[in-house]
Amino acid sequence: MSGAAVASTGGPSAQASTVPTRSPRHSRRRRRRRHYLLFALFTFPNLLIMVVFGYWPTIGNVILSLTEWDMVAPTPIFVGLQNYKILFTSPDFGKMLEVTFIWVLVTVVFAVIAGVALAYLLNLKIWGRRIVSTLAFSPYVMPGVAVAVVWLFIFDPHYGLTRYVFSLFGAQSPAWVGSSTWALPALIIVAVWKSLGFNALIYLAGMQALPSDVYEAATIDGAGKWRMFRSITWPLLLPTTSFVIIISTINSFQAFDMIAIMTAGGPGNATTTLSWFIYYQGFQAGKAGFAAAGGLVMFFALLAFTAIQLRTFDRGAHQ
Amino acid sequence: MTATLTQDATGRQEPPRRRKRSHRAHGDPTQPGVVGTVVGAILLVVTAGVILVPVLWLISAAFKPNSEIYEWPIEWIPSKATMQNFITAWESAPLARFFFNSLILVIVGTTVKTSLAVFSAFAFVFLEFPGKKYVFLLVLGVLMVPNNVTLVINYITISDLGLVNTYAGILLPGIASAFGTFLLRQHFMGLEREVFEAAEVDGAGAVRQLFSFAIPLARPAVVTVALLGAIDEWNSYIWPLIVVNSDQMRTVSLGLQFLKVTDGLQQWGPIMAGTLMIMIPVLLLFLFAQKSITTGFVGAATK
Amino acid sequence: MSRTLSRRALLGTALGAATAPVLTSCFRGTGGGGGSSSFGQALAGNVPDKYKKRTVSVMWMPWSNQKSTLDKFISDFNDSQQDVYAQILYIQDYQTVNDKLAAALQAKKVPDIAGLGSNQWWRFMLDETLEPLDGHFSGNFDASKFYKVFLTEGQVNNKTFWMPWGRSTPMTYYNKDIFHKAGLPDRAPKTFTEFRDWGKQLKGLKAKGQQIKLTAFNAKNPTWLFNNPAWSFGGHFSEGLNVTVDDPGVIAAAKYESDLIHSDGVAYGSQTNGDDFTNGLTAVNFASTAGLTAVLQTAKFDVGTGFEPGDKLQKVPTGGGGLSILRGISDERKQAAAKLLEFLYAPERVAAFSVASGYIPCTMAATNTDTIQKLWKNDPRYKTASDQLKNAQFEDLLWRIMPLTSRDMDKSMQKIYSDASASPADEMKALAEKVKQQESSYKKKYEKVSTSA
Repeated sequence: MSGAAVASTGGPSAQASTVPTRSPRHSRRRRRRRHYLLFALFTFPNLLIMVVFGYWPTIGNVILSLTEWDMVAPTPIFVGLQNYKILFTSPDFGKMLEVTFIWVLVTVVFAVIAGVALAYLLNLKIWGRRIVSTLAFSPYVMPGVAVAVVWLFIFDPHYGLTRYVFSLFGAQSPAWVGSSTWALPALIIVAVWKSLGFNALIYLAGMQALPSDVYEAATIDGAGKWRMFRSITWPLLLPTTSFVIIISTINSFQAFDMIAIMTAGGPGNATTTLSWFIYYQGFQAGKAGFAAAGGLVMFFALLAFTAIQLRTFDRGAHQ
Repeated sequence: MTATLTQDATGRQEPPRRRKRSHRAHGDPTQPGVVGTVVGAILLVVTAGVILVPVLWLISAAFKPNSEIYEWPIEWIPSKATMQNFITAWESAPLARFFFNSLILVIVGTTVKTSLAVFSAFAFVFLEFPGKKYVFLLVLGVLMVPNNVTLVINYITISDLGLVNTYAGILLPGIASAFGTFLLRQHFMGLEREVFEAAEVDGAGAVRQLFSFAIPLARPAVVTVALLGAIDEWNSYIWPLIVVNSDQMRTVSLGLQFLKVTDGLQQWGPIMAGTLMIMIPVLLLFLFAQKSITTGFVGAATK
Repeated sequence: MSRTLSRRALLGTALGAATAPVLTSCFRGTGGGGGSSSFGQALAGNVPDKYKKRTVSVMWMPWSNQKSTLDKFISDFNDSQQDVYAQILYIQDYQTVNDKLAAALQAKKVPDIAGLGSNQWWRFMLDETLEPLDGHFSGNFDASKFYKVFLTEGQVNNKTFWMPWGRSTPMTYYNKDIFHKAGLPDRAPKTFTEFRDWGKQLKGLKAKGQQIKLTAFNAKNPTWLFNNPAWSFGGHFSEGLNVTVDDPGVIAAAKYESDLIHSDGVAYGSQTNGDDFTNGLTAVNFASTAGLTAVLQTAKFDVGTGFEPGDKLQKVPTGGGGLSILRGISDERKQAAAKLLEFLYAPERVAAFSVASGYIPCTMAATNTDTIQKLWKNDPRYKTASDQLKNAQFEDLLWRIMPLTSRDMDKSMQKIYSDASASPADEMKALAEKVKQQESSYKKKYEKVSTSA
């Protein structure tokens, strides 16, 4: 597939590497030099793009966050820490952090609980589990935009599926995305629906990789299923859990499509997460500096979190 | 049947020890009792329902005449299935062009992205370089940079490069896949090093090692990286939203927006029809390549 | 004390001085470019071979729901021309045009004409990126042809930056069938006090299994529609350049809407208030005149139209859009754009656009066409909006020149609609604070352009 793109870079170095070797020391040095060169060649395009489109924006953001600029005016105006001052003193910021925190926390908790529960279920030898696992995974690959639009319709209190479901219980559907109280839960439901199968399959793999001998011993001890799960499966799955937590946290922090389509951060600020805030300030409100300040907050939040998680992950992995 | 599943989820290079399933018969937590089977089966059906109902709702609405969409009580089966919603959706914007654009982006983007990831992953595993561990941290570090943080400045960079509203402009910022590099590196590390050492002694250079051994041996992982890249590209929304400003360059995700307009009046029928249209290609891809996709994702998590 | 201060000041200046070149080299804006014709063109699509020799003129238009009408205009224009080829790019709404145009200016590849919303064009004007149009006037594209109430909104210092196109005001739509069943008079409510009383009479009336509500407030972009009740209760969002959104009149209006929702239970905030009305779930809908044709086509009942209510003051805000030419493009492109505008402002086209949508015909000549006169005779509902123009006025100044005010106010109103515990007074006070925090740069720019544009 990638043959054509690769051949041009591969040609000359392939020849170079077939030159016969002389003395062992000489050849070791040659080999090393060849390796250095190839390493640089192989990794350079990838790294260059990462630096230009990953690291530079991060650094540039720091500079930008000290300015006031609508992207249209001739030059950014240097305003020092003003953006941060406004950001940290505004009541909206507190609310936004709160919304972001709840959003991330709840989606991650659900990712873990629902993921492990479904994985346990899929791990049982019951006919049809394979179909269900395929089904459950499929929303994960659907376009976020499409999923958001479908659920927007489902959540419509007058014409959507929600009215039908609530009417089955003789109740009236909440207004979901139109309600300060229910908008965030609506987004959470969609996020969980979309990633359920993915998390479950990660857990399933984790479960299937567990050694079977411990279970045999436990059965002989007469341990019940719940105890076996609690004292054997769950602790052994900790590295998996750590991974699920990291991935879900990153995904939740960055969630954008759904929020953009379903609530645009509203009603009020009820679903304004950091991610939406940055986009809104930067591209809609014309406050690039303010967006950059928000971006920096997000960057450090994520960095701190991941550092902590990675350490747990590492510890788990090296056991 | 069950054996395949186990293999799928845990990757192909499974040690033979675990194939002997007879050993675990007693303490096997995967063997439910009668009650367990019944409860489990019910829960499986419930899960399937939770996933399927929204999709059925989408399909039902896509084929309903507009008047029936607003009917109460709800009719699941349209009184007569109509293609009108699809026609309306198709006419509301140059959707054919949008599909074409998305397809081009998927093909080119996936090819380049996968190549970049394969080359650097190989380098990280099989080539010597002083401090390459730290260089690899550079790759991992990018995973920590939240997408939205980069938007404004990447837009400025792309516009300085004169690439706004071009395929290159859409693809470039996302073309280096840290995740793909990471995943492939994990897989390459799992390969038997002796094979490569022997090959090197035989005079096979790095490029030959890459094409003759590394890629074939880690083929499932490479395919996975490609598939994930393809799915990402098809689904991507926020970046094209920012960087594209012509019908010539718009992608399918952006096309959906056109159906969502009008002054407070939502045309749910055409919207659902359009949604279904952009979902189908990616779902088909998933159904055909399901194993590779799940294996890859899961492989990264467990290795 | 003074030493620390001066040191800090020094440090600040030094840092500022050090960053300034970095800023200009890394992040370049484009405004104030004045006459420099350095901007590239953001083509909307391929230019067919037979038009390759012509000057291309690109329009960005938010009226994608009027695609067929506008497409026809453009193809007629291209057939009629020798030197200009026009292209149109539909962008879903005013907000998105605003976002994309800002980004396009950054990239220095811009369209020639942009259809901008009444809350958004100012921002571009303040950054000096819009062309004064007066020098390009010819034929139908001329200030003298337009209704003053629309035209002057696009003028600063006697220069025209934004020509009326797709202008509207809010009006009252009501469901005659429901009114009949409820024993209400066959007309729009005259005052908000009266309107509130009508809520009681709907009790027990059901549609699609639900209690019919008096109205659903637009919860997507509430601000523009909220001008009318705010003025009605004696409030103003701003007076001159001063925020007054926390004055008692505005708070009373917000409280009125909140009470209708949370105490009376006869109204609610809705993302789809238009659908709710056409499906018979609400008796009254306050909405833009721009949706009239769509409402009449969708609703299966007899739709009535009327003025917006008013208690102390009966006023409606003008809204909708206008067309601007970008300043940074070449003279050749400006002339081509002017030709296109001249074509579009032909009375029969303004009239046709009006009929297709419900937007108010914005030129006198368009109003006098057979198309409009016949329509008004056959269906007086199309005349309601034009008749109501005597009540129309611009939105309060700060709300026009600061694009964020409306968005921020939308959020406050959404909160009031959706949260029974939200206090209208607190929300409006917080909003006023927020506006004050952001207003300085807009005020500065405004003061600059309003004296020297």
